[in-house]
Amino acid sequence: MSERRWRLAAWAVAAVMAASVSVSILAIPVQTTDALVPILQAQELPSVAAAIRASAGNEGYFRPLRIGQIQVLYEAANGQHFYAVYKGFHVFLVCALFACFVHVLRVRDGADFFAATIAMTALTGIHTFLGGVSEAYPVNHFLETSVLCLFALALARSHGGWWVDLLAGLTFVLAAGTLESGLIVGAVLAMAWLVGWRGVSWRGLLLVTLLGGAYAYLRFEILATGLPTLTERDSGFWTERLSPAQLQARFGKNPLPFYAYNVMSSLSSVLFAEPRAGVWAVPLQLTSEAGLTPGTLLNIGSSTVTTLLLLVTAARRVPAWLRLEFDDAGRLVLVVLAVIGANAAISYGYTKDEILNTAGIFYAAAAFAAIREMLRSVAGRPPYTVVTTFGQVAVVLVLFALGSGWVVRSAGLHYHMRHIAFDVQNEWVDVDAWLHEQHAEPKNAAQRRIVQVMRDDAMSRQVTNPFFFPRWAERWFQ
Amino acid sequence: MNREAVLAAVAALASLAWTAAVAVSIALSAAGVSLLDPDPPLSLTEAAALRDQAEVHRLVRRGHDPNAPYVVRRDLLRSVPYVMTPLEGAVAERRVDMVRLLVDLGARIDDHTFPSLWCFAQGRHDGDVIALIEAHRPSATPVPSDCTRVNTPW
Repeated sequence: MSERRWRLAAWAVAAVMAASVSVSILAIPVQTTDALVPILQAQELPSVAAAIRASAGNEGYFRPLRIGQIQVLYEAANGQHFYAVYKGFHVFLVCALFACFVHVLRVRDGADFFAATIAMTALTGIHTFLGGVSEAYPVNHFLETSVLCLFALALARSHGGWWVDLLAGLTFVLAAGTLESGLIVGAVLAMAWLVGWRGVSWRGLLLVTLLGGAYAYLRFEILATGLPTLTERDSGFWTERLSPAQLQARFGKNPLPFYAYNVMSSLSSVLFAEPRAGVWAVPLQLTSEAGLTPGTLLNIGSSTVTTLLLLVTAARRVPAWLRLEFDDAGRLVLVVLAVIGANAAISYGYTKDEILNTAGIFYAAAAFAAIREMLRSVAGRPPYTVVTTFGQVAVVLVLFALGSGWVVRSAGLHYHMRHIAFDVQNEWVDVDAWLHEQHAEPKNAAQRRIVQVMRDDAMSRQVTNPFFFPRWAERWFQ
Repeated sequence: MNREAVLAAVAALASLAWTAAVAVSIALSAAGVSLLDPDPPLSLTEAAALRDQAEVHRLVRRGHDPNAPYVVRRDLLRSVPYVMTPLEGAVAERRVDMVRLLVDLGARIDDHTFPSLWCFAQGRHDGDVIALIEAHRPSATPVPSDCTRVNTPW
């Protein structure tokens, strides 16, 4: 097959994957938690500019463009079409994600295509992906920053030009102004430039650096938003979840060990699927009556094998890297390692799967490079040459088992999303009581109408009762 | 296809099969046949037993009587099918929120249904459900002194 056909086949797989995720997104009503209240708040604001201004001074956070986007979509909904607008934007983000993902992989031949197919299964199967597609706040800014980070990588791999530099700057502004994780765009561009992907020139990188400085000056000097404190929210630690009061009592005097734990557990979560949101499932399950679930074993096994392949791919290039020589696979691996490191560092305050969405997506991109290398090895192509039939069969079997593991995890994504659809719809039944508990009752007739419209919409959707899901699913899809 | 591509295809077989299955599933969904979302219709009692508050709401709005008995398919509560009211279904599964919702939607705890529901809840050992049923006890109806003489679903 020609290079063009392999590339088209990869785009077709991406389209199917994007469609399947989109179908699952559309099965979930717009949720009450984290979505309804921001929409009601948007009703009180007169304009997008006012929304951005109002959010710029929030203590601990700096996410003005996130609030601005919620406002833009609120106004586009025109008091009626909340599901269509917010879900439509979510689906757009998913399509953009898969488009950027398959674009940066640069599929050229059969090995590329088959590796990309496994990598896209890993992309949807990794546990950090769920938070990017199952929820919206009402805009899923975790997914959005991941898309922008991939877009930044695509810019770095482009042929360049002044407009690419300008786009890099705009991408950074949009990402950093939406969510703290958006700062990872800077890490992507810097590492890509260092390893030789110079689609974004030194001028573009200088622009992004200046914008980064402006971000810090605006946030910490002018607006003085500061950083989130220990008392913000619950957080996982070893085998338990600690409340803000417990965190304060245990780490209030010296939070550094807690921050170090969060960074290390974030790294481990992406690379080895444990812990999850700072909580280790293995010791918990081992001490439970039900014991270790096959789903947990599968998660750890598939992630660990993928990470080992990734480390082998990196390790054999270290001598070349020390000579500042980089090939495309090595460049991709280094950029991904930088993204995983940056994402883990940003998670110092507290860690959860959603925050690691970007790292998980880039991890899948690195898996592509590692798996492709193994696929090429069975044909005796460099850098390895597996010439014996036994060796070839062994490599193929390992990759088949690995791909199968990721397929189960990918199927689990849809299982969890259908569970969430059921829960979200049931939350709408008693939405008035929930709003009362949140001290967020509608303040005027327009807000009451918004709640009514969204409730009617949520209740009208057909969702599957989990009773009809297979019994084994709960233990396999962790 | 050359040898390299064949070996690579075998290695990626699971992912390829998954992609194909998803594509077929989406195509069938578009044609009205859903593989991913099996959704057989629930009776009002089944919805109550399965914590499906939205479905309970929908069914009552469509005119289903919250006080009428409905069939519960086998394996949903027990290995045999039952005929019982939505309140009994909610009590069977110890769902206090569902009992509250059904009462809000018009299910009656009166002198006729109270003894059966109360005794059934006693057998299910759920303090919250028992307390809620007692809170709706008609003033002239005494708490049964001997539940062995009261008919309950089981």
